[in-house]
Parts: sequence; C-alpha cells; structure tokens
Amino acid sequence: MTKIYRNLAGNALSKNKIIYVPYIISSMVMIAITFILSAISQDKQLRQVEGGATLQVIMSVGIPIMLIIAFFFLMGVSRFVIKQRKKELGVYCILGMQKKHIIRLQFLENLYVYLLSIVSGTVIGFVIEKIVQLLFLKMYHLEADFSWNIQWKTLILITVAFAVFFLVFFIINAIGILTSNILEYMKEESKGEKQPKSKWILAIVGLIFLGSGYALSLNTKEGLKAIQYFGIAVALVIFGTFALFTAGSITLLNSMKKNKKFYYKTGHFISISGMLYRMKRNAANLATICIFATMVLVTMSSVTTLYSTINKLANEWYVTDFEITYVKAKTQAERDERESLLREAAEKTGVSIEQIYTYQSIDAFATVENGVISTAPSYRSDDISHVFIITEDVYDYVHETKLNLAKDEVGLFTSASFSEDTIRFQPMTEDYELSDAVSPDFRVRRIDDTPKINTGGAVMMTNGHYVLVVSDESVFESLKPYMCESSWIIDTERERVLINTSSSKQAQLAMYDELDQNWPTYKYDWVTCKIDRVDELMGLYGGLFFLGAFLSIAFLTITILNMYFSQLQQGYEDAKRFAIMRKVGLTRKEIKKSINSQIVVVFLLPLIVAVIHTAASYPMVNKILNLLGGCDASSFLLIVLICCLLFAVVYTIAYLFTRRTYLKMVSGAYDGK
Amino acid sequence: MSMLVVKNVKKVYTTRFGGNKVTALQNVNLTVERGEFVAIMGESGSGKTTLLNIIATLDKPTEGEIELDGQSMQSMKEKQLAKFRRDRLGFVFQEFNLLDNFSVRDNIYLPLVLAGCSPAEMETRIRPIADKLGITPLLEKFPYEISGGQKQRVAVARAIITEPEMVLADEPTGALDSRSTDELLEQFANINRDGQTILMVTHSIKAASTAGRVLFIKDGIVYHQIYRGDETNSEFYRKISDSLTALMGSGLRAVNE
Repeated sequence: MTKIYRNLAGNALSKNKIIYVPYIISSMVMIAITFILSAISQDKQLRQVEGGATLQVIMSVGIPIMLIIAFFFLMGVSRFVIKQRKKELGVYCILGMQKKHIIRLQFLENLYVYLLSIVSGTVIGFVIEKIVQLLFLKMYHLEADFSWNIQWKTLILITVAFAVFFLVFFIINAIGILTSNILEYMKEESKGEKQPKSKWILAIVGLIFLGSGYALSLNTKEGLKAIQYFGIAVALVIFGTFALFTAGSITLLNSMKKNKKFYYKTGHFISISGMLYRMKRNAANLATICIFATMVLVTMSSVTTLYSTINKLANEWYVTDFEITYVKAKTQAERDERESLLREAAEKTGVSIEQIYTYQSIDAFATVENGVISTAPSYRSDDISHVFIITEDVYDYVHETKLNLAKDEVGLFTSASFSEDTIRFQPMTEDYELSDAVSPDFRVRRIDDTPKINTGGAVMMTNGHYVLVVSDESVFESLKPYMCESSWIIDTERERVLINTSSSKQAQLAMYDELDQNWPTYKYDWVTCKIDRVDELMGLYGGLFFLGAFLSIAFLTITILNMYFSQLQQGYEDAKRFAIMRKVGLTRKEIKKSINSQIVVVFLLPLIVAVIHTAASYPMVNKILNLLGGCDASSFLLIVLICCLLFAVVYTIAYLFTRRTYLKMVSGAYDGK
Repeated sequence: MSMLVVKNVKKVYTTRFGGNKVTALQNVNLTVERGEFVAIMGESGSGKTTLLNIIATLDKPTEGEIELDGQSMQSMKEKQLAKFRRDRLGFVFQEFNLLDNFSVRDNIYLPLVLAGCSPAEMETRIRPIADKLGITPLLEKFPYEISGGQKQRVAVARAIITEPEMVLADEPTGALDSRSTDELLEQFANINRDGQTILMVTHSIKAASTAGRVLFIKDGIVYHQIYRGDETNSEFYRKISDSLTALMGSGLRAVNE
C-alpha cells in the first residue's frame, strides 16, 4: 500500500515536471542562499580575519530576512502548484480515493520536494560558501585552507527551518482539502471569469502615491532627510505600483474598449480584451515582479558603489597612518615623553616614522548657514554639519607648506556648498535661536585639496564637512566661547598625536598590536590605525556587498519564477482561446502577432517600470550613499546603468526561456494536439 | 453546379515516428447543393469529424480534392485558407467555443472585426440575427453568465453573421439538454429555410431528422444516403432509424433521444 503511494507521488512529480522542477529549483536557491549566509556568519576562519567579524554580523542580519522571504515566496509557489493539480486530484477522488489518501499523497509529494531541494540546496550552498571563504582569505593575503569543515549548526538550522516551512505548506494544503469538496476541483477550471471593472479611484490614488514617492525622492535636498524619508518613499512607490498595475491598467484598457472605432480593429480587438484578462489575473504578479526587480537594481547598485568607494573612503576618513588621542598634556615635557614612547614602539616593531605631531582641534557638530557656524546645546538630527578646526602650524607641518594666515583669516576646506566670503561663530539657545554671543568675522581663504589630517568617521552622517584652519593658538582659544561645549565630539581637553609611516602593512599592524596590548605603558585614550580601520571597512562594505549580492540573487530568483509561473498559467488559458480563434478564421501569423504584442507588454512593463523606479530613486539613494561615505555621483550613475543593463540581459534570457514553454503550450493547442 | 464537391478524399494519420498508420477516411465522395441541409451520421471513430475538419480546411486530406463553389482548396496557402474560413464558412461546435473574455456581442462580432467591418455596419448586421435567434437581451452579457442553449445560439449567430456560403456544425446538440436541442434544431431549420446551406455532423437521429438529406459514414466510407422528400420530422426520424439498423447492423449504436 505504501509503495503505491510512493509510486503515485513520484509519478506526480515527474509527470508535472513543468511545475515541480521550477518549484524545486526555487526552493533550492532559497535554501542555498540561507545556507551561505548562515555558514559565513559561523565560519571560524573568517572570524579571525580583520573585518571578518563585521562581515559575519552583517550576514547574520541577512538570515532572518532570507528566511522570511523564502517562506512567503515558497508558500506562494506551493499554492500555485496545488491549484494546477486540482483537476488531477479530482480524478483520484472519482476513482475512489478518500481525502485522507489524497492528503497522504500530498504529504509524500511535499516530502520529496523538500528532500530534493534540501540536499541540492545545501550542497550548492556548501560549495559557494567555501568559494566566498577562499576569496576573503585571499583578499587578506592569508593562507587558504582547503579542508572541508561541515558546519553542523548551519546544517541543522537550514534543515529544521525548511522542514517547518514545508510542513506549514502541507498543513495549509491539507486544511484546504479537508474543508472543500474535491469533486468541485474538476469544475474549477471551466468556471467563468468576471469581467474586470474600472477602478478610477484606486487608479488615481495609485498615481498620486507614486507621484508623491517620486517627488519625495527628487525634492529631498539633504542626506539626513533622505534617510528619514527613504522608507516612506519606498512604501508610497510600492503601493502606487500595485494600485497602478491592478486598477490603472484595467481602467485604461476599459476606456480603450469604450472607444468603438479604436476597439473594433483586428489587432486592438483581440489584444485589448486579451490584455484585460491578462492584467486581471497577473497585475499583482507583474507588480511584484516590478518591485523585486527594482529592489535588485537599487540594492545591487548601492552595495557595489559602497564597495567600490572603500579605498576612497579610507583615504578621506583616515588620512594618517596612526592617530592617538590623549588627555591634554600639562607640560611640553609630558608631550615629548609621549612622542618618544611612540617612537620606541615604532622602532620595536620595525616601523619607520615619517611624521609625528601633537595637535589640538575643535571637533563639533554645528549648523552652517549664511556664513554662520552655530552650535546648539543639544543635538539636532537634521541640518547638521561637521566642523573641524585646527591651527596653521599643524596644517603646515603635515602638508609641508606655509599658509601664512592673518589673525582675522581662516583657511576653509568644505565638501558642502559654501559661497560666503566671511565666517563667524554664533551659538544657539535652547530653543535653537541664534544667541547674542557673536564672534568677529573671519575672511575666508579657500583650500581646494582635501586636508591630509584625520577628521574622523564623524563625517559620515552629516550634511557637510568643514575643515577650518586658524592662524595660531590664541585665535583657536578665542573661538571656544562661541561654541557650545556639548556639541564637541572630542572635547578640547584632549590632544592628538598623528603619525605617518613608510612601513609595510604587517609592521604597522604589529605596532598597532603593541600599542593596543601594552596600554599601561602608553596611557592614551584611544588609538586608531588606518590599516586596521580599512580592513574593518572592507569587512563592513564587503559584507554589505555580499549580502546585497545574495539577496539580489534571491530577488532575481523570485522575479524569474514569478514570470515563469505567470506565463505557465497564461499558457493554459491562452491555448484554449487561440484554438477557438483559429477555427473562426485567424491565421497563425495573426495569432502569433497578437500573442507577441501581449506578451511583450507583460514582459516589458515590469522591466521598464523597474528602471523608471530606479531612476527616480537615484537622487535619494545617491544622497544616502553620500552620507555613508561620499560616493561620487558619476561612478554611482555608471554602476546603476551597468546594473540595469546586466539585469535586463538576465531578465531577457529568463524571459525567452519561459516564453518557450508558453509558446509550446499555445501552438500545441493551435495545431489541435 | 454543386456548392461543395468532395472527391475521393482519403486521410491517413501517421504517428510521429512513422510507425502506425491509421486510416480515418478511405475514399469519401459527396456533394452538397446550394440551400441544402445535410447531416452526416456515424458513430465515434467513423471519421465524420475528420471529414468535417477537412471540409472546414482545418485539416488537409492525404489524397483527393475538395471544391467549394468550383474553387479547389488544395492549392490555397495558410493565409488564404484563414480568409476563406472567415469569409465563406461559419462554424458551430459541440463545445460552443465562445471566448470567455469577450461579451456575447463581441463574440458574434469576432469574424466581422477580423474582416475589417466598421462598428456601424456590424451593429446593423447583428440586429436581425439576434432577434431571430432570441438573444437580443443577452448581447451585453458574458459567456459565463448564460446557459448552454443560449451559448449555442450565440455560436450560431457568430456562424451566420458573415453570411457564409455554408455553415458547418459539429455535434451542435451534443452538449445541450433536450429542450435546448429542440430549440436549436428549430432554429437550424429556420435559417435553412431562409436559404442557408448547412452541413452538420451528428450521431443524434433527432438532429439528423431535421436535415433534408442524411449521409451515413462508417469506417471512413460514405455507405448510404437518404432524402427526406416530403416527410415530416417524425417520419424521417423513423426512416433514419430503420436505415441505421438495416445498414449498419449492430455496428452503429444509434442514439435515440
């Protein structure tokens, strides 16, 4: 008896391979990606790499996201599969199977799909994870380890999680079978379909939502606002897309249908009424495809841009090789003592120091408007810029130059737009009003090149970055009363030592280790080593890049599978329709033309809208990326274009492949087979 | 001159790899005159649907020739054949074959739209036909909203709106209940009286008894034919029934509705 079930279930899978193969492949991809994320986050070797820990944290964030995506996507697929098989189940029922038998059959089928995809998914995941691991190790010039460690934790997580998923699908399915009359399944297909009605209101609301989403992206000027509004814009666009695809398309087609002269033309007649039904059935699907395509495009282009700017970022944020912060020295002797200790540490680790200098800085958050730099007693999240003030001697020493600034003059470098000729300092009151304390005006002398001094990662989340150089220490001190103490990032009771070296990576890391481990000797507040930070950045952005790439593959799989299943469903329906049309006197050519025009719309619509969405998101994403580290606009644009192009190619290939299945079904019906 | 001439038509189906050959039609000869209502009777597998498909140009004969109005169909290309079907033939099928995404009106319009008719002209054409078939109130409905009998009347309207030379009907009563069958046959008789040539394939004696002439087909050959003459439907019904028993022996399971 059990053998019969096994045979039946096995048969069902191979007979319906047109739906089961894509089902298994899609769950395999989901399993593989989840496996990779989990395996990377658990990898012992990667943990030892600089930045590896960051990478692992990012990957582990991706695991629940992936699991949620996989669950809902696979649930949709499993429901589609069961819908396609209702007729077959109905026949089993007529032949005398009871519901419990059918449920038992369903259980076995689910089990087979699960087993097939879990085995193939983990094997693929295992291999790809190893490749990623080797890539990372190679990136850090570390010994590659070719041994295969089985990661039990990951394996158990994946096996159990997906077993639960498939069990849930099965239970939903079984409840469906128990609560419905299976004989009804037989008739399911021939049931008539209601003519879709125009939904003007929803279409207009959709248009408004989409428009406001776009407007938000195009009109947001500041990076911080862009971050705040990004989620809202995304929600508006998603809702707008769904409304426009579902209501908008049908409203448009219905109004085309109302125009008799236009509607009753051979080409329009068949296409419009065909599209009407196609859109009714598939609009939500197409909107999903479109949204996922947009996600792929935006994710891929942003993470690639971030990844490509690592070196640029590192050079902007961490200019000097070392930066060591101390409590301000009371005497020059104390200062000299610190420097000589650092020199000893360098010597011990084989680092040759090129420059070493102790300096003070004002490092603060402030609003810069109309040439007024105003700090506030409490932090405000928007309109905030980063202001960094040093004296000329530091600047001159590091740059080996002479600015010769006058007392009433400041050297100014800024990444933001600043057009005034003078600068003054004026703090704010508790209510963010300008207070009465106003500093004298300073003439501005522009510095064009980025200063080679660490200004810290604080640049990251601000609207602009200002480096000011004042002539000497007396001017420097005179500014302090005009700034609120609470706005300082590093208070003025500290000073920093910067060190530039001409030594190898290994030597620098050794010196960093020496400073790090023998703190009692050096007694600094904190130390930053550029090379260590760059590795950390690599881990962060490399991690984001990998996560983005894997999620994109997941999204892409969903997109393609969605396309495949919607073509399949249309194939079943169109096959019947075209067989009738042939009998009424349509030539094969006319039918093909009509199919093509409809299919091209169905294919192109999500792609074109996705590209438009991506284009509309560009200004906003660009500002956010700028906040995260100043990507330059032209390279981001290029990456976006490349991503769009690549995506279009993959999408087209997938489309052509799925179209073959569709055409086979339709032309089979045409020839009366 | 006869309207339709079928000369020595043979049809052999070959399985894909050239293995088995199945002869569906051995050697069929028949003619249909203008204004005639002809029924072709035969059991399942006798080749009657194959014959209809060949006459409908949906299928090609292996041998032999078909002429409609003196025009041979063998030499025509796909495109010409489609135009030919559209302009000169009308179809009624057992399964109605209405497109579910078109309203009743649009289903009837379909062949006219394909022929490039203007909306105004279509409107003038549909009115008398819809009246005659009693489907005027249904025009704006959709196929899923109407009954089987109504669907079949819509299909008839679609078949005759192009004013075809011949209407081909394949088991038109096969999916209908007896009342709808009566109504439909009545309408067939009506449109035939108006001069419409009809060729119908059926295995229902009742349907065949509406026709003016009945051809019997078995094993791919036309065996026999009988004319109605002046007989009433019920007299003709008996005659067909007798012929079936006599000629086919136990070979044909006649359906006695």
